Amino acid sequence: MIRSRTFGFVTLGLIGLYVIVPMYATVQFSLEGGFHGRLSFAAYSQGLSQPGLGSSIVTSIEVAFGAMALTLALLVPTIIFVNLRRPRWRTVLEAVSLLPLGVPPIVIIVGVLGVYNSLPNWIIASPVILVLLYVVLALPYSYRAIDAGVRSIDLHTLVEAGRSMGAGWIKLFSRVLFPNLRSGILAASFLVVALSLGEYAVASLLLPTQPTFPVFLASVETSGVYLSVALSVIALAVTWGLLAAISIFGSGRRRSSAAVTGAAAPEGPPAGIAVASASAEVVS
Amino acid sequence: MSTTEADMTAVTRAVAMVQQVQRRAASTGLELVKCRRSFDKVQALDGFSISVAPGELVALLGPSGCGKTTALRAVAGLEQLDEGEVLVGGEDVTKLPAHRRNLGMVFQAYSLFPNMNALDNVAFGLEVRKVNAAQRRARAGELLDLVGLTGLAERFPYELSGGQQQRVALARALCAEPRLLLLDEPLSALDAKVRAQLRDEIRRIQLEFGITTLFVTHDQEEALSLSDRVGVMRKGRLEQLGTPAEVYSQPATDFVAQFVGSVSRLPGEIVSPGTVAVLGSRLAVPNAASAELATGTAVDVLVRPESIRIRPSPAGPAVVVRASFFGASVRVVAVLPGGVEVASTISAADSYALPAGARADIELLDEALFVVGRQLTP
Repeated sequence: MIRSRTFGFVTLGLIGLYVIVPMYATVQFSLEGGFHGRLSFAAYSQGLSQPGLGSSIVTSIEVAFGAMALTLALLVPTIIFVNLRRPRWRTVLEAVSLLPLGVPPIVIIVGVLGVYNSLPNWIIASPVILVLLYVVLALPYSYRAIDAGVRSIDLHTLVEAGRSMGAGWIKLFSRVLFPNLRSGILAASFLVVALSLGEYAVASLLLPTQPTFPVFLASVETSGVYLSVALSVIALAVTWGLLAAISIFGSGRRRSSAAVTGAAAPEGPPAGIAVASASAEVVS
Repeated sequence: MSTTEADMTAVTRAVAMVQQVQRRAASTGLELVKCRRSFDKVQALDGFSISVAPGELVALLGPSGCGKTTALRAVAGLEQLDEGEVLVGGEDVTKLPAHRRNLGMVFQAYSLFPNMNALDNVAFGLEVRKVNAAQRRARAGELLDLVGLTGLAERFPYELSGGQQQRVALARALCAEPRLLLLDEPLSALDAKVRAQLRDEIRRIQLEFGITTLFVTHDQEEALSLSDRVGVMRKGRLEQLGTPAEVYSQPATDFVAQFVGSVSRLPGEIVSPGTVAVLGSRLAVPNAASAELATGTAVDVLVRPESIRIRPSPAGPAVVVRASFFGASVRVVAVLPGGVEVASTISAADSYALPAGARADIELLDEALFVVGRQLTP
């Protein structure tokens, strides 16, 4: 027992070091600012005063949450339907969801430009185009996260039990399915948001006129290494903040639901915390 | 107990019986008419018809794949029929979606909503019907008391045992006052002792509510002990519908005779129309279809273990091969010359004289259960 606990602490410590040491080094480097040992927020002040920073962050957040909403709206009902009514389609859906991994982003961009060319300007010349594309790019991860959530519950029985008690689909989804799929849905949300916040290649090629935060970051990179590292730290903080907000939103709903019934919710960490940590690393 | 107290008890019982009859009369009947449903090449229901009277508990009994669960799901609206009708209280609900049928169902798998505690699970049907929170909590609390789960209202499903979860599921199914109660093998995942307890609870509650109930099971003991009538199914059809005693003692077909209870299949011969000779005895042929068989026809005679007496006899023709202990009784299996197995139920005390290898006499005590013409192999 003691040995296994020690092993656990050691493993956790090593993983912590693996994550924390590079972050600590990054933050320290950004604070040095080239003042030979003196720590300073000069790089941060310079970064925050850069024109275009605010708008790029807003664009990134809009795109990230747009992609998240569209992903959930498309995938959750589809995966539930396929698992309930067309289980044989799962193989096809899984294969399709993997396609974005097999096709290089540049090929996707060229294809998108060709196909979407006929679409109105409010789609192809706005962040909407990025939303559409990020939904596709995140598909391999978001599909698996939601599918794993759906398969971890006895979907058929829960749906049939709810239906037999008079629940329509909206009631069934809001009171039975969503709460029990919360961890899968949160995990998919984290992944889509993290991917959207960190993606550079597609954003720089498809929407150069309205840069997202990674595109903005690349554009100021030439202004100084300390500035770009400070902005990376800001990016990390923003990403962590957003993912924490999603996590708190998810677990907050759970707590309020339990409070109505006057009962304590089942113990356990808020769903998706681990994924949030991993996703933040992807972005940084 | 004084005479007055005895009278009061009798009056109380009589009032309870009258109330039960009234509840039955007020509840809803169920009818399935010529139902057909196939899955790919499998015909799950093949012209299946059944009628359940208001307040009655009918068990559908049959082997796996006989269509009993499909029939239940068709009533619930969870399975669409290819042909046929489902009538609830005379109303045709065949095309009505499941959530508009107002039926209560308990599933084989634990089906409680994991995100809700026991009280919220039970109250869910009322929540759907927009009953206010105070009323539905009060009603759900009553139902939990009824199923013996007082004090466990705040527990989540993972904090309850399998038996407790099925009790909550039963309370949940009844909470919104459904027209019918549908039970899809609700006891099959439970251990034997809990299963027996819950079986009695289900019957008690069903009688108390007077609710028309369709109960699907593959366990004949459950079906015979719980129901007003038993429907034995085979290959999507109803082989026989009758009281437990009828199904057990007067099977309509060879299949029912063998599926319900256990039988010994003994070789016999029709010696005159309506009479069969078997093991040196002459018995009346009980089933009409075989009563017309011609003299000299080789038949199989099906006999219940309790209709066979086995006695130790050093010169007897049978040899005891095994005995199964059931507490008060023992089932002894002996082999006759020619390899025919005969099973007899005797008292535990008598079984000591019949160890494996002992020779014995076999005697038929009662009439045959069923006689069927022996199929000639080509």
